[in-house]
Amino acid sequence: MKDPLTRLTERASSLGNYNRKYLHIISNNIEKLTSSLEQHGKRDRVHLWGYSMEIPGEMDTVLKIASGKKEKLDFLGCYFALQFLQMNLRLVDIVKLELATSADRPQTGRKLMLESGRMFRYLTKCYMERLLDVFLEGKSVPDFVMLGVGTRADQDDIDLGMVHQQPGDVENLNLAVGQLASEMFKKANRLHFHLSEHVAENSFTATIEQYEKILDKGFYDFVIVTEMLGAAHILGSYPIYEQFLSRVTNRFYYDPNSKHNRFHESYLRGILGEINSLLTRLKLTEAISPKDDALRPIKSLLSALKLVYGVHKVNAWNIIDELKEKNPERRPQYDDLERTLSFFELFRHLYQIMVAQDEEICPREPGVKEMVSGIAKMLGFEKKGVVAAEDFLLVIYYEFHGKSIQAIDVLTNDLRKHLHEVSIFRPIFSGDIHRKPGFEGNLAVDFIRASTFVKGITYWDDFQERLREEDNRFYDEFIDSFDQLPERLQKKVARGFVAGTAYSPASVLRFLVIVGGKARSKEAKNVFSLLSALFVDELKALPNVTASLTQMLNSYPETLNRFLTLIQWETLTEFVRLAQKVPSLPELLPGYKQLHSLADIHYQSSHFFKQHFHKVLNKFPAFIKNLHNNDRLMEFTNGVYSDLTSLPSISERIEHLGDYYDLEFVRVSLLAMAGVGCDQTDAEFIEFCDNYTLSLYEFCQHDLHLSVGYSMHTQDLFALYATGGHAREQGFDDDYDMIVILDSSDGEKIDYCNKIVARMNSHITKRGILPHHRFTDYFGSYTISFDQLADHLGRVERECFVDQSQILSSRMLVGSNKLERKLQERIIEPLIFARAAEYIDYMRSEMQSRHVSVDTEHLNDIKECPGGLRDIEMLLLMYKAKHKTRDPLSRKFLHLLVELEPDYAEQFRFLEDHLNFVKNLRDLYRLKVAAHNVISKETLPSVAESMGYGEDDKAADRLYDDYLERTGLASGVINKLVDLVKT
Amino acid sequence: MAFRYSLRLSGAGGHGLIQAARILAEAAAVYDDKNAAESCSYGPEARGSASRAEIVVSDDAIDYPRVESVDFFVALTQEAYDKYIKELKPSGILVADSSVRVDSAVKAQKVYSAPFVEIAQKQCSQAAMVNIVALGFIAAVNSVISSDSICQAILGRIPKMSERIYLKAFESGLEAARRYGGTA
Repeated sequence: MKDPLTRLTERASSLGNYNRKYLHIISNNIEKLTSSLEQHGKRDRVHLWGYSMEIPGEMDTVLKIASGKKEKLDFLGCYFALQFLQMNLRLVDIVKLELATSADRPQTGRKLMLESGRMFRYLTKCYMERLLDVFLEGKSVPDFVMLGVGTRADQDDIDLGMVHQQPGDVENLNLAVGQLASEMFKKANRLHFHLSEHVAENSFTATIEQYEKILDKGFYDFVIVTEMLGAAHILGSYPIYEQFLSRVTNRFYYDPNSKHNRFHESYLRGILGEINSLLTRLKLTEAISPKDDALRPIKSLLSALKLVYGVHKVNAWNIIDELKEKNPERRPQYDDLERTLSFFELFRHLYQIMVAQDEEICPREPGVKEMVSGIAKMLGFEKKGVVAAEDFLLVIYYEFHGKSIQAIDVLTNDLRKHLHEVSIFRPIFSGDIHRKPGFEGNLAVDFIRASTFVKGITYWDDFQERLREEDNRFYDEFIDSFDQLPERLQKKVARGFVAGTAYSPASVLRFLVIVGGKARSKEAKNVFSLLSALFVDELKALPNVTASLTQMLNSYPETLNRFLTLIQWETLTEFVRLAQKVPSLPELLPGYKQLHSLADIHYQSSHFFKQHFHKVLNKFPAFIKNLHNNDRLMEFTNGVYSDLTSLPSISERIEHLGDYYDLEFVRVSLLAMAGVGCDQTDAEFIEFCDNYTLSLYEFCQHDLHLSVGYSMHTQDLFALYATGGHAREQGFDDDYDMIVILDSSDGEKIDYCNKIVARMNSHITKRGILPHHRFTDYFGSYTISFDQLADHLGRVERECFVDQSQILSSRMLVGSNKLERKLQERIIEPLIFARAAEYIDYMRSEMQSRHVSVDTEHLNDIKECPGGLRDIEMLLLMYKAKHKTRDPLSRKFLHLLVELEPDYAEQFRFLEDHLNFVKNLRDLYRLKVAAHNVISKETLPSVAESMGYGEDDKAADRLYDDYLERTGLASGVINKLVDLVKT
Repeated sequence: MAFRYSLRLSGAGGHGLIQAARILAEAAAVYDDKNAAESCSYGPEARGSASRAEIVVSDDAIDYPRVESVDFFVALTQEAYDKYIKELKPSGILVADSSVRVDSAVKAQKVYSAPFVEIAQKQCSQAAMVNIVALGFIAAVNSVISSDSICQAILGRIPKMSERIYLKAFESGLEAARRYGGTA
């Protein structure tokens, strides 16, 4: 037969590893304890191997038979460990039995958790009482009470508060409590005394006067108050406990007869902010956390509601019971909270006693998965078909979670209304005080004064609503009041407004975006500038700034983006530094990447890019979260494009088509900024641009049809050509050169097509691109006919080569092969190719004349400098005329020239490489600095970084020197090839 | 005179320093039969991510567990090092992650540097195991809490069936101590 310790060890193996500690304590002492009990003839008076119903008496017996302090502690610790294990084993048995026979899982959960909490409190209370007696050794101590201030059933640690009353030797009490904590830590549970530590200095205990003092001075926050409000008597003096309630905690209850409920208000503001931040916190993807997902928000809410409805209970279920009676209108919500609370508490408790004392549970992790499966089965879930028991548990988990969130929303809304009614800020917010004749106050100062009654207030939605009001009266008064303050005081008051950053950065962020977003006057801008700089200073002091910032980004992407748009350059620089801090936890890395991308865009991108970026983010905030994920962005934009035809109206289709353009512009720009080469980005840019133009033409044609009530057949008569950069398949242009040909002289048709183009123009302009219609100046119409074009290009004038170049470089976007052939036969062949020698001469002399001036600005012009983009374009046009081809002037044509001009293959290969270099430089400069062709060396560092020149101080110099050297060499090559080109 | 030894673990949120401190305190108190107390920063600013945790070990009762000067200091981030290094006693021991730039003028009896974060990521495939790797290293280089007790306390704090992963991380810490100057 197995001995009792072996049997207990075997039984305890079903519990979590942390029970090993208790087995260790038992095995070290059980032999001595047993033999001592037997020696004293008291073995049958103490339950060593079973759960006892007479714990206090048995603990006293154990103490009596021990000789000396150490033995008392060892025996008592051993007895506690035995009962602790029996208690947990008993609970597991009861859970199995109860849930096997009960249909109402949450109701059973409530019953079991109440029982478990009662058992644990009773056992620890008995143990602590006796330990204190041992350590006090009869010494004189003041009257005191020990209060339980945390979750009642948590076995990992016990949160305590202590209150004592003078006179008496506090040192004796402190010493004994210190020893108690140390002994409990060794043999039972950790004790935490945050409450008394916060109130007293270097002491486990404080007097009621000390508690009153910190409350009166405002040196407290809602965390401490929550503990106070949950205080339950454990041991010691009842009268002191009652005094503690009446003098300390009762002040937080709502008193309808009182003029001011400032303590009540301060707590509500803290707790509402806390609930908000808990509900918007970054959810882990691989883990669940019953505590953070639901228990903390529910308990925080209950803690606030009990103050409103005058409930003096401390246990969550008891509070709910009384709230149901006092606020019957919300009974359905309380029912949902109760059921969630019961299910979550029981699941968490079982996980903690059977698996580990962790709050985060990874149900898919090997090892944990099996344990969660075991708990699921204990809770009555069964495997059905392919669905595992733990999967059923998780489904129910999220079902309860969802219901509790809905209930919390309703009840917090009630709290907000209540707060609005009782707020001491009501006169300030309403402006009543400030409008009184002779009033000499200051809104900003009054507000800070009124709000300094507690640290950590994070709920200011009502204040923000007033600031946001459209008539701006409150906002203007707020700014004026700030502006009137002397500089030093202004800074001090401003600090007060951002002081909540440590508690809820998002709340301060929202406030700042209102202040900054409405700032039109110089004064308002100054106030925002001061506040935002101080906010970033506060962020710097946060212990885990990356987590806070990623949480802000996750919960309020548009707000954070807006803030970054509004802040001054110096503040942005500081923010970017913060955003560069790499988090240590892998699960924060995706958020960090998003944050980093966003900060980087604000810090290192041009207005040219930002105009599209902000447009996109205002409409699609979710885009922010995928800035570094091109595949995801592409799925998104493709989805928008594919969905166009399913939209019911033409106006919606056109609007969404514009969105598609903006989204794609941002996506491809991000690719370029990430260092992807221009061969890829140009191809992707032109693809979406062509998609856009084609669809826009169709939609505008349809729109016109609907608008005028008839349609005209233009299919074989209308052609739209891109010229300029779009025709050369060059991305990131801010203009759009087009030629529209209508093969008809019918005035009605010309008018109809002009209207289509006019509609297209107006939509293209909304994308921030200027449409240029070549030849419009000559003919006074967007559309031109072949006859008009032939007359125009048939002139023998020097300027004609410019228009010839437009036609030669054009690329058809809309139109038929028939029209393309006609353009070739009627215009290009007789009027350009047949005059190729003349055209080439014109181009050669034009190129030479452009390079007469060679000052620095000219050299820095990527487009116009010798060896720049214009030279390459002109060279290619000359060779195009020479070889009489219609190929677009892209890299592909350079490839073709390698074959067509084998003697100069090396030069053309060099030019292809050079084209890529200057194109990359030009694109990145446009996206990161400005949409200018003239580059400035000082602004090149971020471009140099993207182009792979490094991040050091000299990177920009290296890029610039490279640019000068390459364009110089290219100029030589181009000049040589230009000299050689002959028809 | 009673022996009193204080350890401070500091780093970023997510390094699991509170858990590590609890393990060390439990190892000292429960398995080495000394007195121990642990504390960490509380309040909303530290919600879920204290950057500092402390342990006091003594052979006598610990009347108050607050640490003022430190005998053994672990810094896993530069920020933590910069913030707390001044409280290290000249006779103390510094253990820093390799990413931390240790001031050459720092006064300490012994300075160790090892890539804890990298080891956790590469050898244990989990950055969150950095605390257990660090505990392995601490077990090897401290003279107050025994390595066996730390190992026992780790096993008592983790879910069943995950022992192998944690022990591997602990072993990696011991190995790091052998490699980077400790005496495991």
